[in-house]
Amino acid sequence: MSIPEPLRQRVDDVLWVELGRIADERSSHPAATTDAIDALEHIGLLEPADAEMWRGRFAEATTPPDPMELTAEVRERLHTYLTTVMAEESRDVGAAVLSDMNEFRLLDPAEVSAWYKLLPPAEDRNVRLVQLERTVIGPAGRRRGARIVTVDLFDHGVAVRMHWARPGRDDTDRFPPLPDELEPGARPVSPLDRLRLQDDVGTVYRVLGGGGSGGGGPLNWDAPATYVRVDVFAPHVPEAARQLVVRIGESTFEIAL
Amino acid sequence: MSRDPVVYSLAEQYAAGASDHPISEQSRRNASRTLAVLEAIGVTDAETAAEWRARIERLGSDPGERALLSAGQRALARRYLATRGPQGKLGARRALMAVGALTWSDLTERREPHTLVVDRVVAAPRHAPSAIIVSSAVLYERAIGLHWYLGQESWRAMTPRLPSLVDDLGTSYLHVGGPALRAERYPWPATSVFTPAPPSAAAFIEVRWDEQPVVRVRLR
Repeated sequence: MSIPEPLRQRVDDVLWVELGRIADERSSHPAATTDAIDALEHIGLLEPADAEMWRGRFAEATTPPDPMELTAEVRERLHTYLTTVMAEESRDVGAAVLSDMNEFRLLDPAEVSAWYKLLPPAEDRNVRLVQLERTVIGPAGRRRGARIVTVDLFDHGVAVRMHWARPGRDDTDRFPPLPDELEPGARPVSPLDRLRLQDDVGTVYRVLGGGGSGGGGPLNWDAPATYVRVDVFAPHVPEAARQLVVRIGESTFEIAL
Repeated sequence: MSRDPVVYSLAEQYAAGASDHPISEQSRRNASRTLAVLEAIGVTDAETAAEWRARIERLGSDPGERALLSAGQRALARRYLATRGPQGKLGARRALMAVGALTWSDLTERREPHTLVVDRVVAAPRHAPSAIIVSSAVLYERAIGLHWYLGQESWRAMTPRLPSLVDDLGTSYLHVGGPALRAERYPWPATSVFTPAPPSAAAFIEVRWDEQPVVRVRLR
C-alpha cells in the first residue's frame, strides 16, 4: 500500500492534533480518541505498524509528562532569556512566556511565581462602560467570513461586536458563499485574529478585554461554523470623530458615525 | 518515540491552534516564539523545531488532499462511521473529515448553527440601565441574537440569570446560547441566542428580565 506524501502528512498532522487534545484534556474517554487511529487504518491511510505506534503515543499522552531535567547550561540560557523578556516586553507577553515555560515544565510553580513578581506593572484596565450612548449598526457586508455587526459607544469606551461564519461544503464539493459575503473565494480570516480599532481623528484605542464563543472542530474545513465575539476598547470615541475603521486580519470595515 | 515532554506540550499548543480554525495570527506568533525559545535554550533541536514550524504553517490553509482519496476509500469511510457507536463516533468522524474521507454532506446528523446567516441587525432604543442594558438584536435566518450588557444589579446578585423574549404575535422563544457572562467589571457584554427567528409579521420584540419588561426593540 502506498500512501501519497501529502495525504501521509495530513494524517500525521491530524493525529498530532488528536494527541494534543488528549494531552490537554487527559481524556477520560480513550475509546473516543483512539477511534481516530482505527478509522484511518480501516480506510488504508495508516499502515498497521504506524497505527500501533500512534496507539502507544496516545496511551502515553493520557498521563502528564515528567518535569524536564535541565542541564546547568540550559538553565543559564533560560535565565538570560527570561531576564530579557522581563526588561523589554509588555506584561502580557511576559505572562504568556511564563505560562509557556510552565506548560513545557521548564520552570516549576515556585519559579514561575518568582518570575511573575518581576513582570512590568499591569495597565489600569478598570474602565467602566456605565452609560451606553449610542449603538451604530455595522456595514451590511461580510469580508472573508467576518462581519462587524455593531459598535456600542459608551461614555468611557467602545464595544465592537463581530460575527464570523463559514458555510459548510455542499454536495458539489464547493463552499457556497454566504449571502452577505463581499469577497467570495478569498481566504477567510481567523475569528480569533486581533481586532484593531482606529478613527479619523487619530485616537489611540487600547484593548480592555473581550470574549467570544463558537467555532467548528479542529482541522475540519467541511462543516459550517460560526463565532461571535466582542472586543472592548478605551477611551470613548471623541465627538469630533466621523468614522471608525475596524480591521481584523486582511479585512477592513469603515463605519460612519 | 521517547517520552519527550516538549513534544507532548507542543502537541497541546498545536491542537489549540488547530481549533482556531483557521489558525489566528496570534496563535501563529505564539507558536513561532515558543519554538524559537525552545531551540535557543537548547531543549529541542533544529530538526524538530522545523518540523513543528511546517506543521503549524499547514494549519493555515485547506490542504486539498481530498482529491488524492479514491471513491472506494470514501465509501469505506462512510460505512465505517455507520458502524460506530456514539462514543467512538466523534474521534473517527473528526479524523475522517479532516483527511477529506468524509464531507459535511456525507453526514446524516448535520447540525447547522442557528446563527450561520445574518439577515439584518437592529439597534435597541436607549433605555434606563437596570439589571441589563440591551444594545441591539441580530436577526439570523433561523434565530435571533440579543446583545446586552450585564448591569450593576445583576452583578451584585451573583446569580447569572437570562433575559427572555416575547413579541407582539405571542411567539414562544427558546434560549439556545449564551450568555458570555463576565462578572469582574460592569456592565460587561453578553450575547443570548433564541430560536426561532421572529416571524416577518412581528413588529417588535420585548426583552424581559425576571419577567419584567426592559425594552421593546422594533423589528420593522
